[in-house]
Parts: sequence; structure tokens; C-alpha cells
Amino acid sequence: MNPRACRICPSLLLGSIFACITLIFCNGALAAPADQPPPSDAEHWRSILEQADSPGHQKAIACKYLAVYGSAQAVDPLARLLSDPQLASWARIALEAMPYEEAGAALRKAAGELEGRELVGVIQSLGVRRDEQAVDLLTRHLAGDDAEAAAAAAVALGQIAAPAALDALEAALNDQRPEVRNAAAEGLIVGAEQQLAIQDRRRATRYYDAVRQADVPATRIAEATRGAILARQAKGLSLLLEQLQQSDEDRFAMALTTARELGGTETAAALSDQLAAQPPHRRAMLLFALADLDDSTVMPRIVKHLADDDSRVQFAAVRAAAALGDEGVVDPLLRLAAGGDKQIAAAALQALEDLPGKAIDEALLERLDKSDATTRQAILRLAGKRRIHATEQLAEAAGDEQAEVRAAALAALGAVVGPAELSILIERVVDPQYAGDAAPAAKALGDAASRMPDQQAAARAVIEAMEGQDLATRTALLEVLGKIGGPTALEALQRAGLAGEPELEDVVTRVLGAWMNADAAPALLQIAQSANEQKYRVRALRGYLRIARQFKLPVDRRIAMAKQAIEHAERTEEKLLALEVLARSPSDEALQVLTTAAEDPDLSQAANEAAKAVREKL
Amino acid sequence: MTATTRRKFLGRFATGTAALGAPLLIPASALGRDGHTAPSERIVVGGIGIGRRGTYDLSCFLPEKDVQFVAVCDVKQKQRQAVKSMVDKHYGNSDCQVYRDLREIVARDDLDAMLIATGPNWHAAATAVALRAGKDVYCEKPCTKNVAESLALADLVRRTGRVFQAGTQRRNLPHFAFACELAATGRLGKLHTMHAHPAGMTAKTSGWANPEDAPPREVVDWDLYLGPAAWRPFNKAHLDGFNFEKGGGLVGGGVLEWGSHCVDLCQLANNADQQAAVEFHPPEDRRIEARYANGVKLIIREDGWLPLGSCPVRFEGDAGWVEAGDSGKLVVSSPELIAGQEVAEIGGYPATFHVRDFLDCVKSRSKPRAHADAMCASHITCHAANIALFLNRSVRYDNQTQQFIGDEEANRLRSEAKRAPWRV
Repeated sequence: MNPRACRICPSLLLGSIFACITLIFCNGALAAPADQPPPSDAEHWRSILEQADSPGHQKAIACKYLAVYGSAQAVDPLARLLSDPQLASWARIALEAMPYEEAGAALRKAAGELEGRELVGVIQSLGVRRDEQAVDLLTRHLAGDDAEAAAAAAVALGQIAAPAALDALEAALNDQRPEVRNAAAEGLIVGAEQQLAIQDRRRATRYYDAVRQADVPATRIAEATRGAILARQAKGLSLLLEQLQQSDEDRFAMALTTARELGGTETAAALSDQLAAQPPHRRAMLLFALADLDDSTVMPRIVKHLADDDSRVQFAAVRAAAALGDEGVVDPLLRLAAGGDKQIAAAALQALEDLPGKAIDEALLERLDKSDATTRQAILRLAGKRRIHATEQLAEAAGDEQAEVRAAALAALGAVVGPAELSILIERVVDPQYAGDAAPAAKALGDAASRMPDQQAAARAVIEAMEGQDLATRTALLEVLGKIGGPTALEALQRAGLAGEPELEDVVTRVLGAWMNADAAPALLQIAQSANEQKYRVRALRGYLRIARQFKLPVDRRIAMAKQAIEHAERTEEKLLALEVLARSPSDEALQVLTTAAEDPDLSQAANEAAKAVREKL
Repeated sequence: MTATTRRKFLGRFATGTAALGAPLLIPASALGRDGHTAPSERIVVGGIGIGRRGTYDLSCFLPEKDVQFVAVCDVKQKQRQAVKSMVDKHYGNSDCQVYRDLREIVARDDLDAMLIATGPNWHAAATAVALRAGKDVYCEKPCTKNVAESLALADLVRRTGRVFQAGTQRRNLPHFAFACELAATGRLGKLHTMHAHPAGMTAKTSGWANPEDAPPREVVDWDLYLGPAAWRPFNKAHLDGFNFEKGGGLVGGGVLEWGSHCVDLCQLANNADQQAAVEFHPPEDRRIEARYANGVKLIIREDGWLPLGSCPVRFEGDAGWVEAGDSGKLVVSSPELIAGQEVAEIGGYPATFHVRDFLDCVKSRSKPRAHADAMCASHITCHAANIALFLNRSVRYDNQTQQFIGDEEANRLRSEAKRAPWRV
């Protein structure tokens, strides 16, 4: 065998540069793709198999293509490989996929002649093909001396699922060999599933029950029990309950999985009946299952467990209440949300956020004035998350005596106010009732202003509010403008960045450095040239380069930006970043800039590497 | 596949986890986990094929207080010893047992769950071995190599009643989950187009490299390494499990690399956890277009993304759009869409939450976010796209019959025989 490798790219022949299937196979010569026959040339691939001296790797790839394109004429040469330990698996790839009766016949013939792993392989293929003509043959293997073949036959018979196949498997549940019994059980379960699929519940139940009575591993018993419950439908509930009452945790767990599949009000009721008698960890598991069952008739029982002594159960009850509850769970959940267990409180808050409907909104607002500070805070947080449009109540709460409540109210206002109410938040930024409220108010204003339908109008309102304010307020409002975005905000930020005040340079370079489109580039370049402090000039230039690097821009603009950056950079670090931009911009112009840059000793190595990258792309 | 309510969207997941903020998972105190977990309440975990990615996954399992990792199996001696050292160092003992043959590790009665992070060649077959042995499974992606394997694996999970989590951890990251929620609950209006990044449209089949002298079986068990893949002589170049038989057949690999993440998120966004797309077209302008039964378009494309990091997705409805990527950030057409919400910005696509979701479900017996049906549907969408790519023509898939419509060649690409005795 020649040690050189051949890369075959048949897709090039198919005319698609994307569908390139790379196959690395040994070959006598490094053949160009164009020299290869197309994958669909079944006759070519068949002839490779017919030639006794074709090397193994060629036969292997031939099998792969014949799996897709081979005709019935390819069956005989493929079948001859089934006894070859090295090529049998390749031949099966083709024979198993072929829709022809000839392929089935070849596999059956081989199953009568082969032994060992090759035999197991063809038995598996017969099972995958669901070859009913193989039932007698497989039944013989099931009873044969080769336990591995017998086990494979058992699974294959289950896949075929013909009545005779399943009868044979039922009998094999009494086989002396544990591994064969185990495989027979698996086959029978697979076969029973197929009976269920064709609505023959009686037969399915018979097979599941047969496995349940057999001397097979607990895993098979559990699988059969699941099937037996589902096959019986509503009548399976008693068997389900039997499992739930077992001390064996695996059977309990399987019962819960099965209950979820069975579904229905009766199942939910049966599970909820178990809540009182089970230990805490099982109560929690039952509650999770009830949540998944999505049947609200059991809510009264779930609510009781919101006050369960065991936090595991409480947590599960909260999740169930979130899934199934209505306004009736608002009070118990609010109590938990304000309680001392942080994890339960978080879960309760989440549940209150998830509960759907206006009735929940109303129930929460009703309780706002009547609650303690912790609960008020929770309700306000929920008002924001649920977007309850109750501006008046929220604004009133923003004047609460407790700072945390005020902050929660401001955040909620940020989530709900409309354009006409933006002034409520602006006022609290420029003239806060309490000094500490300015920051949360500014955050809320940013949240609100940035989602206004007319962003320019929102920006103008903020800009107007900046007039005559102290530095701290202007800084906060510039951050808000950053959140709003758009040309009006950008213009104001640019003006502020060029005003010569370091505090403003700081905030503006930060904000523009994260601008979400390329419009900020000119402003950043201007600030990079004129900011008072070098650190802000550097930051501005880096923001400028970020735009060149990350946004989709015409190549010539990208190159122009890199060129400008090199020109104005005060440090080598930024010049190197500009070279990276050029490296990603394959053009002659980029090469020219890089050639010039290479004359700088600090840049020469990076510039040459970038130029190399550009040339490769060109 | 119509828009669902928020409660139903969240309730679909085991713990009803919050899509916003850090995922709300079962707390330490729930189900017996309080930081001082009794040994009887610990989840005893073993690992199969813990290499580069698996070591990361393992690093997410080990800190969990209710996990006791006790055994590792690898066909490569060096690797199993390295993992044993890592585990022993973590626990300060030398108890981690090593195995070469996965059948031996899953035969242990004390193991509850398996972490499977072999190469893609083994993912489904090893999962099947573990499920049949009664273990719950966390399996790295891509979990399957073809359509038939996806269906068989989902069936097996259902039949065995075990908990299965595909390693598509983005489902459990807040910003991706929120983006999906916006689409799934109708907040973007009527969803019409989704975009997914494939990370390549080239499928690879490892083939048959030059024979080399095989090391002793104890050092590398070549036969077990090949496992379900067709036989070929030993060659150390094949030992890179990440790339070996990634696609398995003539197709595979390709859009499945990131598709198993990004297409998977699109499925979630389209409420299509039980349904693959139904129509696939060959690529044009570096884009593969597919369509779901509800008319929603899926565009698998390489470029044109906002700078939000790797594995980006974008969902477009008639009232807005959202785009998210691995930076942890998302961009929405209107801030109105995120008003009142605090979407935690978690970059770097950690699997921590996803592993915790799996462990919680091992205890609650609920379905984790990346359950087997979801895996099955999203993997089939990727496999079918690859088949359209390979055949270079449009194909149509029927979710009921689980066949391609009127296309024998496409149907012959649905499956690939496994080398005996391995199966799913």
C-alpha cells in the first residue's frame, strides 16, 4: 500500500464549493479531484469491488458511495466482503442502506454462513432493515450456542416485531443464559412499542407483562413497567400507584417519569394523593412532576406545601405554583419572597413574575400600600418586570421613606413610563428628593429613554435637561444619551468630548467606545486627536479601531481608518492594532500602507506578517 | 409551533428556570443538597472519553457539592490516568477508578449518571450503552451522526426513562434563553426568519489512513477507539477524537459543528423541539435556506453577523428582531423588548448552568433543557441540511414518516450501519 495520502473532493465535481466532503484515504497517487469519478458513478465504485487487487481503502470508499448510489448489481460484490473482518463493516454500510430485496437476501444468506462478529453485524443489519423474511433464521440464532449472536438476534427480532418474532422472544425470556434473557427482554420491549404504535394495546401489554415477570435485570423490569402502564392508559394508574408506593427509589423515579408521559387529571390527582404519605425528598419530586403535568386542579394541595416544613418541598411547591397557579397564590408567594430563605425568596419572586394575567397585576398593586418595606420592594420589582403600567402609584412609591423601596420604584418606572412621562425620571435625576436617588434615577431614565419610539425626541429632552446642571449631573445624562443612541445623542456626546473637561472626556470616550454602529468613528477620531488627557486620547483611538475591526465596512473605508489611526497614534500598541485591521483587508492599498509601516522598526515585523496575510488572501 | 405563553415556555424546562438573570435552579437546600450532602443523596458520576472538552465539562461537575465523581473510562491510558489525577486531586484521595472498556464502567451498580465526552463517533453509541445500563447521561454535542441515530437515541431515552442532557449549554445561558423566549412567546410578532451560524459547511469523513504499528491495547485500545466506526488500520492521526468520524457517513460534520448549538437555539425559538425543519435547499451565497412546517425560514449562514461573538443566532418577527452571540450580549430591534428585564450577561458560553440543570433533573426526573427530543429534532435539521449540501439539491423531510419525500438517495443517507457489536 502506498503511504501517500489522497484527498478526494467529490463535491467539486458536484459543482458546490461548500459541499466539499473531504476524504482522506490512502492511495497510490495524489490524485487531483478532477481525476476522480463522481460519487454517483455507481458502476465505477462497483468495478473497484469486482477487482480482486483493489486495495482495502479503495473498496472502503466504494462501499460508502454505493450506499447512496449503488444499484442492485452492486449487491453481490458487496456481499462478498461480509466475511472480511476488515471490510465487512464497510460493506454493511451499503447493504443496510440499499432499498433492494437483493440486499436483504444477501444479508440473510450471510447470516446463515458467518460466525463471530461478522455474524453479529449482519444480524444487526437485518434488524435495522426490519426484514421479516429473516425471522426464522434469527429465531434459530436466538436459540444457538453463540450467546453474542443470540443476543443480537433477540434485538433484531424485536425491531422486526412480526408476531412470530415476538413469540420467539417471549419464549427466550426463559433462556438459561442471562445475557440472552436480557436481550430478549430488550427486544420484546422494542417490539411491544411497535404494537403500541399500531394501537394493539392488548399485545403490547402482554409483552410488557411477560418481561416484568422474567428473571432479567432491574433496568429491563423498569422499562417494561413503564410500557405496561402506558399501554393500559388510564387503567395503568393502579400499576403506577404501586410503583410510587415502593421503597425502591429507582422504581419511584421511573413512576414519576411515566406519570409525566401518561398525563391527565387522574394522574395528577393520583400523584397529589401521594404527597401526604411520602418523605420530603419524594414530596419534592412529586411536586416537580405535578408542575410538569400542567393540571391546575391539584393547586389546592400544592398551595399547602408552600408552607411545608422542609425547604426542599417548599422550593418544589413554588415551582409548581409558578406553573399552575393563579391570583390565589399571590399572597403565599409574596410571603416567601419577603422571607429569610434567599433561594426560596428568589424562586417565589420568579414565580410571581411568571404567573400570567392582569388579575395578578391587580393583586400585586392592591397589596403595595398595605405591605411592609421588604414586600413593597418585591412588588415594585415585579411591577417593573411584569411592566404594570401604574405610573402614578410607582411615582408615589419613588418618594417612599425607605431608600431600597425608592430605588425599586425608580427601576419600575424605568421599565414602564411612556414618552409623555419621561419627565418624571428626568426630574429625579436633576433634582432628586434624596441625594442617593440620582444614580438609580439616571439608570431608570436610561432604560426608559432608550426604548422610546422617537429616540431623537428623547435625546433632545435629555440634552435640554443638561443645561445649567453641575458636572456630575451632566456626566450622568451623557451616559443616558449613550443608551439612547442615534445622531442627536452622538452630536451632543461629541460636543461634550471636545469641551476640554477630563470628566466629560472620560464618560464620552467610554460611551462612544461601545457605540453600536460605525457612526461614532469621526467623533472618536476627533477626540483621539484633541482630548486633554492622553489616556482618553488612547481610549478614543481604540474605540475608533474597534469600529474598523468589528463592523462591516467597505474595505477602502477600513483601510482609510487604519491609516488614520497609524497617523494619529501616540503609542506602538495602537499602531499594531491598526495593522491587524489592515491584515483583514485584502487589497493592494492595504499592502501599500503596510509597506510604509514596515519602515518603522517598531512595526516592521507585524507589518510584514500582516502583508503576508494580505497577499495570501489576494 | 405557534407562539406560546411565557409560562409555558419557561415551564417546559425542568425547574421552570428563569430565562433572565442567572438561571434559577434548584437551590442547594432542595432535594437533599445543602452543602453537606449525605452520601446517600449524592449523584455518583462516571466519565467516558474525558479529553479536552470533557475535562472542561468535568470541571463543571466536580465543584457541585452533590456530585461524587468516582470513575473514568478511556481507551487511551494516558488520558484515563490524567483524568484520574485531576479527580483525585480534587477530592484529595486516590479513589477514582479507571477503565478501558465502557461496558465495564457502566456495569457498576453505584453509578447514577455518566458524563460522555468522547469524540462524536462514539457519542450516541456510548450513550446507548449507558442508558441500557440504567444511567442518566450528559452527552457532549454533536450527539448523533445521522438522522436515524438521532431518532433511535431519542426513542431509547424515552424507553429507558432516563434523564438525558445534550451538551448544548447555550440553552441554559440567560441571554440566549431570553432571545429564544422573545421569539417563542410572540414578543417579536409573528416569527418569520431565523439565522444560525454553522461554523463551516464542509463535512469530513476520516477515511482510511496509512497503517502504522498499533500500540499495546492497554496504551490505546484501537478496536474500542473505532467502536461503531467502520474498520480501518491504526494510524495515530485518527486518534484526534474531536475530528474522527465526526460526520460518520458521507455527510455529517458540516453545519452540525455549530448547528448543533445555533440551529438548536432556532428550534427552541420556533417552539420546534419536537419537529425538524421540512425543506432544505443547497447553499447559495454561503447560505443554506430551510423552512419549517409553520413557514418559518431558517437561514444557516457564515457571515454578516453583528459583532457579538461566536455561535450567533438571530430571530426576526414582523414586530422586531433579536441577535445574540457568545459575548453574552444581545441586541434587540427596540429596547422596548427588554424593558424591565435584567438579562444577565454571561460571556464565554460556560456549561456550569447546563450541568446544574442536568443534575437537578437527575434528582427531580424532569426533562432538562436540552432533552433528547430537542436534541433529536435539532440534529435532524442539521443532518438534513448536510444532505442537501452533499446532494447539492433541495430535499424535503417528513416528520411523521421520518423519511425524505420522494428522494431515495437522501433516504439512503439517513443512516449508516455500525460496526458490530455496537448499536444505538
